[in-house]
Amino acid sequence: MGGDNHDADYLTISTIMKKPEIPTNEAVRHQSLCELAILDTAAEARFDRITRVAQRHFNVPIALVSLVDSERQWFKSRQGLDASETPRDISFCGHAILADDIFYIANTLEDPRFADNPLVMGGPKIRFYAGAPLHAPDGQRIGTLCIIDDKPRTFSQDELTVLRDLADAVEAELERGHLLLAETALADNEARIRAIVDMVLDGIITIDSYGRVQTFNPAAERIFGYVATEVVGHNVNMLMPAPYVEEHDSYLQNYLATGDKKVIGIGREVTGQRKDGSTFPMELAVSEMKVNGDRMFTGIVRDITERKRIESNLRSSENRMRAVIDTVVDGIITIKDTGMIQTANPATASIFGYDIDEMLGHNVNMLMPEPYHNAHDGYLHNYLTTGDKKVIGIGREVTGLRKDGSTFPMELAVSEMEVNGERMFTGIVRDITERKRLDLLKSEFVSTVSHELRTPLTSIRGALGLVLGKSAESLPNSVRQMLKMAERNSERLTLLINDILDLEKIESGRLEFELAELDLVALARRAVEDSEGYAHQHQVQLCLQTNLTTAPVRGDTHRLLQVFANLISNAVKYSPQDGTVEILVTSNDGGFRVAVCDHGPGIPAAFRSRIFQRFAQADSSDTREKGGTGLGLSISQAIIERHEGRIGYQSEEGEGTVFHFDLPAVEAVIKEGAGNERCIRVLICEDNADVASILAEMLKPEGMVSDIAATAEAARTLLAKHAYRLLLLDLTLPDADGLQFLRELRSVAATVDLPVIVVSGRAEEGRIAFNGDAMAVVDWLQKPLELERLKRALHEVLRHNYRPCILHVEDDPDIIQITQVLLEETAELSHVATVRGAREMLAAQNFDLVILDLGLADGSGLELLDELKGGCPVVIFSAQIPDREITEQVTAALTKSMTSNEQLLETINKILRG
Amino acid sequence: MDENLRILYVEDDADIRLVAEMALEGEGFELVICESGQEALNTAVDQKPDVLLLDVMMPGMDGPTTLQKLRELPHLVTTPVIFMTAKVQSEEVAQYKSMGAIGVISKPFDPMTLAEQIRSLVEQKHA
Repeated sequence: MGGDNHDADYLTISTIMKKPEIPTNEAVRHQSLCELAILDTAAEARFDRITRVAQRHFNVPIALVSLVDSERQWFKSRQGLDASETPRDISFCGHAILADDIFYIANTLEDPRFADNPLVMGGPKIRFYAGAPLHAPDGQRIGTLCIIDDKPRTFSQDELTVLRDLADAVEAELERGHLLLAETALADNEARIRAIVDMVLDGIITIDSYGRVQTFNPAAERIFGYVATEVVGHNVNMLMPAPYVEEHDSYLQNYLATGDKKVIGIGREVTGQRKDGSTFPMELAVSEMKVNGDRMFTGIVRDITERKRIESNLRSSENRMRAVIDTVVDGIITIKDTGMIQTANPATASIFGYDIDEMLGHNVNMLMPEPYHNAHDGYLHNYLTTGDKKVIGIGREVTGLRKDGSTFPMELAVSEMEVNGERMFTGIVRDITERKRLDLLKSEFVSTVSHELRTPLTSIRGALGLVLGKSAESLPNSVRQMLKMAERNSERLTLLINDILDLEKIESGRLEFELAELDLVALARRAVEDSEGYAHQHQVQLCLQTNLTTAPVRGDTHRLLQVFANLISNAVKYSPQDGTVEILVTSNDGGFRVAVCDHGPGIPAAFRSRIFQRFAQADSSDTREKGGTGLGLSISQAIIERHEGRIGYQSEEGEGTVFHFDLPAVEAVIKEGAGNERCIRVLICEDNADVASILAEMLKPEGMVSDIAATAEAARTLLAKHAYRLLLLDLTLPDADGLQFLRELRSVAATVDLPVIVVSGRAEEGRIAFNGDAMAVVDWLQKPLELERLKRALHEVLRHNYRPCILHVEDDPDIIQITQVLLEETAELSHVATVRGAREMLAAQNFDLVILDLGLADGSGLELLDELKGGCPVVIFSAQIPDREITEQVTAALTKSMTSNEQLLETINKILRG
Repeated sequence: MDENLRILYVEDDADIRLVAEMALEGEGFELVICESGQEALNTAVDQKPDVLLLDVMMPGMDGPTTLQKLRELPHLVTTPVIFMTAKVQSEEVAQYKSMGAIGVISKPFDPMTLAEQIRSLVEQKHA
């Protein structure tokens, strides 16, 4: 009806036709229609029955159930019509849904709204129309039950009622369909929920307000060991052990009566009871709901046996750890990467004299004296940014600070860890005051004993030596043999005492090392020279071979020489007569290797496993012949290991033996600070890199730039390169004795006046040794260093040792001489007699003060004022009295005839002091 | 050296004194021997030795103290000193050096080379 391909008449007429209005609530109406989910569905008998009845009852050709969609009317049921839809804008039903009453047109040709409607003009030639609105279950008018005739007719009230009744029947069908739909959806939903409830790991139990179980899901079955049928309908307290069994009912009663929630809520931990009577910890969340007006409760139950077990294991392990930490004698603290103390154990408290609470949250440097107190944050910062470990490591000896201000030696081991992604440090602290005291006692004891042993030995060895040396000829051969035996053994005894002393130190970990940078090639050369005599006695040649010019390592000269001596003397001892011992120094994988090779009998295979053991000698019958104590290799090994090196050997029986040790190479010995020509440059001569950088840090706030030399040689290089205002000198240098170095500096013109502050563990001793010696040492500072004392010394240096430079522009030789005498105590004076000369001087050098005469040979001193403006202070010292305008430009103006020497000096001193 | 080297020798152990005396006898030395630091101080007042040869551990006044006191005598302020001692741990040796010792002779010493040792230490000092 009314397709798109209509003729010209239709088009002309359609301009008059009235289109149905769109209801104001069209969106809601359309939504209601859609929710019925009926559009474009197949024909259904239940609707067709009604349209058939309408068609027959009213005796019309067409009866329809028409649903008004947004752009069309669609016919759910149709009698006498083939089309299944027509456009909404030419529809009659579009009009019919605008009101609740039945819409009917008795004769369309007489109604201007429809007279030219294509459905009237063309097929199905509508003359009569009656449509009863159809309501969706929510009341929206979504379409009509309508009847159409091709002849005009009138409609009685009775007929209207019948049409309405039939429309109501259609509405009932619509509603029934809608309900069916909802039921299906509900069933789907329930199936989904059921699936979830059946699948979840948590037990889900619903109970009614009497406490009777309504549902019991499979997880609940697994958890409690019951099947649902054994539980449903029973009181839920069957799932609870006493005392909850009794309590639960009263809880429920109480809640229902008062609303006081004892059970409802999330995540309570309670105890459950299984069918077999066993109990278990469970987490219970209870919620309340209303079903059909009845109160119901849902419980969600989780078996937390495993979690509890893990927690309890963790707790007991934590308790064990805590017990250890609380009772251990060492202090254990953890700090954050900010340096803040996070935990401290009771031992820490007793070691430092604080209560634990007094330490928590404070910076750990509260436990350190100066200079570490200030340096520590820098250490940490440095470590965190560069990874450079100054603090982390095992067993450093440091100084601790107690609450009462006293200090004590302690051993500190720091390790790093990550906790919840946060970096933390653990420090283990041991007070070693007592150990230090015992060490000292032991050291004194050993020293005394060795003295007591050596004294008689000195006489014995001396007496034997004299007899054998001076009157051997006059002795019978057998007596001479006996005396030689005695002499040899007195020498052995001496060596033994020396080795035992070393061994004692190794065992007590007290073998002291003065680690410094040194050249392994030079050391090897020296060792070879030292052993030359011994080799000669054995008629063995020593031969040093190396391609290296230097081999910088970090080590203790004396101890390494001891190792050399030991290896070389072993090699010599086991060399055949007229044999050669080669000493090789080579570079080797980031370090250097020293190898000592002999061509002796080699080490017997059976002995090799014991070679580094104490008092080990390959053949005890050889002992007397070969000499030695059997301690040498053991000591050498300990020494090399303390140098972070390795010692080893290769040996071939009958071919010879090579003993070698490897030491890591070190980097440069000079570190230059960044600074320009005008800054206060200080040289730190200190071989301990840590101490040197602490010192440099301390000087920084004083406005000083530090260069660091680890050796005296490096210091010489730097002293030749820069002009230093101060030298901080350690007395224990790797390549020189600090005091001798100081003497050397004083004997060289360039450094004869260089202010020196001695900072050394041997400062006191040095001060005593130098007592009365006129060498400008500003102060002798004993390590550990007191920051305050260093500062005082620095200020002393800056005050006393800086001589200001004064330019005196003057052409009168008498005045020059007077000022020279007056000021030579306070300053360096330079003289110039002309304006031009002054210009040259000022361009070449910085002055702290200019004294200016005005009347000069080549002009007036005033010509210089512009150039000096904003620069150094100017004092006019002239016969003329300058204008006020001029005097305002200078710092002071003095008139020669009116100024006493004292006044001049005072004025200048005042300006220089600033 | 043409002239005899005058040595002020302080040693408390009589046997060692004797050994040293015999070792240096006829080697171009002139020995002034003292049994204690105190005796050395008394003796030194009117002596002008070229070298001081001091034992370190002595009852009453030890070697370093003796040196300190001897240095108070104007004519001994710069006299070279050699310590002769059984205490030769490295830090001990360093300490003697820091007190201005030109050398340390460890005990037990070799009597046959003692003269040579002293002479070479003194020569080094003068070189």
